[in-house]
Amino acid sequence: MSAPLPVGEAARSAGEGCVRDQTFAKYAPLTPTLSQRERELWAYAFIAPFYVSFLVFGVFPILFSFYLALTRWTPYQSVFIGAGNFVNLLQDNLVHTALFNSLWLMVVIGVVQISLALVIAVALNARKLRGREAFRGIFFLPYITSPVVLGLVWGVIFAYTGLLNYLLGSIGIEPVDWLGYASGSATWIKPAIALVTVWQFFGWNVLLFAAGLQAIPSEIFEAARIDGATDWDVLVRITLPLLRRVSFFVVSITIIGSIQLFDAPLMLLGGVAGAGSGTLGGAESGGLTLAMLVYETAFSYGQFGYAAAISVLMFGVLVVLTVANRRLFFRNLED
Amino acid sequence: METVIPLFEQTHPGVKVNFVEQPFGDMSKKYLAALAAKQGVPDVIGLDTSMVGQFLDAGENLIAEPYSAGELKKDFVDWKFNATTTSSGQMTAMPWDVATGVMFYRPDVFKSAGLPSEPDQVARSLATWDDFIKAGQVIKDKSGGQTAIVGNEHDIFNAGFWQNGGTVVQDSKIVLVPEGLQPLQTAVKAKNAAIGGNVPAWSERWAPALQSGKIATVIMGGWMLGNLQNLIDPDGAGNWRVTSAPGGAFSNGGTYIQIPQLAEHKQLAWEFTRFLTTDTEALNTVFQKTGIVPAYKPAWDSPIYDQPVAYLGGQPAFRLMVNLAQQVKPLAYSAVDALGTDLLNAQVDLAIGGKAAPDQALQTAAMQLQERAQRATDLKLSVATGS
Repeated sequence: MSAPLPVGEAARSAGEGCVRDQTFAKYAPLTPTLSQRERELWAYAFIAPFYVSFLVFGVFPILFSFYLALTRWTPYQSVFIGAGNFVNLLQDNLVHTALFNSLWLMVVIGVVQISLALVIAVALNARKLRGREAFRGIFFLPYITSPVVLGLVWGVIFAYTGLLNYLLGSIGIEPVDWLGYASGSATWIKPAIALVTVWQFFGWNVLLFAAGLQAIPSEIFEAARIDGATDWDVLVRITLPLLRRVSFFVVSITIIGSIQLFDAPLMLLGGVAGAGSGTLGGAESGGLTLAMLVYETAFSYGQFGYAAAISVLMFGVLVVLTVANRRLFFRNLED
Repeated sequence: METVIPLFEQTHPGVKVNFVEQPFGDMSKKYLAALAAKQGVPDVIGLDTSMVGQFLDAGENLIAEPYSAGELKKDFVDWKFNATTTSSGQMTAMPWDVATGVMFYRPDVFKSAGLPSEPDQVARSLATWDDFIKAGQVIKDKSGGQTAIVGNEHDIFNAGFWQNGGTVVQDSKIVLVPEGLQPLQTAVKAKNAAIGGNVPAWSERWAPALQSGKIATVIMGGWMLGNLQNLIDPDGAGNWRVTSAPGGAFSNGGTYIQIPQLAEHKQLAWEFTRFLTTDTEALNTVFQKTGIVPAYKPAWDSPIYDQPVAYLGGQPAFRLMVNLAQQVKPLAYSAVDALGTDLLNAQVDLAIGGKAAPDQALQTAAMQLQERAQRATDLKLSVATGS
């Protein structure tokens, strides 16, 4: 038997179709509520602005760039050439150089930045540390500095007659041609870019690791210590394994960020004030990254189709690396 | 522009010119994007010589009717007018100013090194690049290595390259090798003589080095006067002089005015362009405010070109620029100038750094340009070798 349907004055005054139980009749709204379907429509309407702009400014350009990559597209012509751009890409020395530079920077920046961040995060997590917040703030500061300011400041530091060489000189070390314009040599360009990038982003990684560390229940550490584990045991057997998810995230964003590296090398080498201005990534193209090459190819040389093809290559590299990274981190786990 | 537009609007009642200023670095990128999108293309655009080649196909042919700019040709500096004329007889950009290349120098530095310091004497004693290199060594020696005659050796290559015309591609032929070889050899020679200051032009260390006299010359377009005066060394009035560069006249920069094929108000655009490039009063008003020397020769008749320039210690500098403007070698622009210049610069740095022989470096740049032009734009170019 079902419950008795509402009858009498109360139900009628509360309106139709919305009151199933007499006891709640006095709280029921006076106007009819929306049907499930209408509710959903409203919900969609409310989230629509984001999705519409995402479609127009995010999804469409991405899909369109895949189409562009198959065309010879300049301001004056648009010809469908199929895989032509990709065939050219494989033989283009500048693309090889840029790909090598981007991968080099990814490995060096990744290794240095993540290990540094991990060490600092673990140190900051020590129980007896004072001024933890202040340290975190200081490490995080470069992350929120404008890349342009950063490029200008580091440009002065790295200049051949700049601050860093002055300091090196005062301890008797010969000046180093960081940005390669005094000697035309690219030897130190990538290390210089890596240094700036690590400095800029390690604070962000410290923050992520710190959050991960705080999420580990302290009982686990206590239990380990009661069982006689040394600090090293705790770090290697407990802390690091439990940081696996955070580490995966940190490594992923580092891969993506360093393959897309653009503003630091551009400001150091290619900007109006840059030392290697007008030389495609400085001496021997030592600082030319994939993202820089895409930008220059499209907006300086007007070769939009070819630039799109390079960006598709960049996308492919990122997909491969991210999938490999995921396999590496979770090969023994189900998720 | 703020000075010229009101003059134009006075003579054209009802016309309102909307002037949009763009940072130098964004200029060609924004125009390129506007052309690619066929949206937001202006009626008139001013283009630097480094950009104009890329946009030659985008402009109205001003030689043809209804513009008939050919009638004005005799009044313009020859090479400047011819440079934007293609082999098929199209002319899609009007010259506005001539950016004559000159040498700004510090007489105090020259004097303390025991070198001649008056403009005429300097021009005579530094007539060739070899003279320049020798003077550079004297300055280095006398200052105990503290002072350099030039920021870096790439600047010497640039000036020498421009003296040869500085053309990247002419009639579908890449001419980097013949145009660049001798200047690059000179730059390498200068590097070996260690006369440079290891400070690249426009880098953060450049302005301080010029202010303090650590770098004794700037070899660039005459427009540099305005930059020195207003930006780089505003407190240096009287510290600088100008004379012709070693190796002679060249063109460095300057602006062309284009009416895009996609422009909306072409008739008015032409009236404005014509006003801008041939109205003596407008040209000389701009000249007086900025030192930008017009390419329209009748404007030079004005006595203002003989006036002393206070910043240059009272030297009457503009007649020199006007005279040099007429000695520049013919040159041409092409669609791949930006790419070609970037590829060239990279190779020039290699050669100056001793990592490649000059002829090999230039050959590499030319081959790279040929490849990339063919790849991305289907432009077939041949490579000229030797000089």
